Amino acid sequence: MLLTDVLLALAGVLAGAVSGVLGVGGGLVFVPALTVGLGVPQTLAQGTSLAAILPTALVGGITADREGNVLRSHLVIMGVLGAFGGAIGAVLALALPTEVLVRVFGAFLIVSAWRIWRN
Amino acid sequence: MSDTAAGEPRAPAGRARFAAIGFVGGFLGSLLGVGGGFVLVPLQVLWAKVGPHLANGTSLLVIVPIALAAVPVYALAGGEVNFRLAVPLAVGAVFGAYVGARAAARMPEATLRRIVAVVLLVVGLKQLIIP
Repeated sequence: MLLTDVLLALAGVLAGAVSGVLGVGGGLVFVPALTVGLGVPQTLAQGTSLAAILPTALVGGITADREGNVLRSHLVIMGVLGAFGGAIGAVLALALPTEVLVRVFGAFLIVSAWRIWRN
Repeated sequence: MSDTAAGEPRAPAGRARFAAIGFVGGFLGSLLGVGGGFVLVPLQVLWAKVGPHLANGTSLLVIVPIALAAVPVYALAGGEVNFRLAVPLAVGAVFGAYVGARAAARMPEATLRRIVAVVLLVVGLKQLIIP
């Protein structure tokens, strides 16, 4: 096991704990941990973050469903349109110049910081 | 769980509204690489009158198809997915969610909130000014 794996696992633990306590998504921690922490380029960090989110959201979602906290009646319509939007969002992320994507992400972090502070 | 028991409507708003929420969540969640919960949860609560616990749980399961659609695009169109890095992140996050859920009551939430907010603000300002 490399030092990188240990650091990433710790970032993952932090992301999981923060999302549990503050109610924010793990991706908010995953992407900065990869870019700022490991110097991974923005698009690679975002794609990797989404791959890490997949099992995390699945486990969390199944747990929520067992506790009756999933709106099953509208899950399919949201999921289908979500996948459609997700594909388009990814195409746009890859098409944008890196500096633009980094700035957009920075703005997103500032808005998130404000929301977390206020809540 | 409490908000579902308190007479949560089975269809609080029209299907078109949920379709729109799913699309916007998927688009922004994939564009930013964060999944989409930051859009899916507040939009369900504010626009579709879904209770916060229900919105949160539903958001997690909607993120699954969002990521399933986005990851192949990132991977195939640009080679922009490193599974070697994703695995430890995911393993840590699942463990962290377990720990976080159990430690939530004992965590100094206000302090944690401020620390996370300040760290995100600093990183966000840095990225906005020097991309």
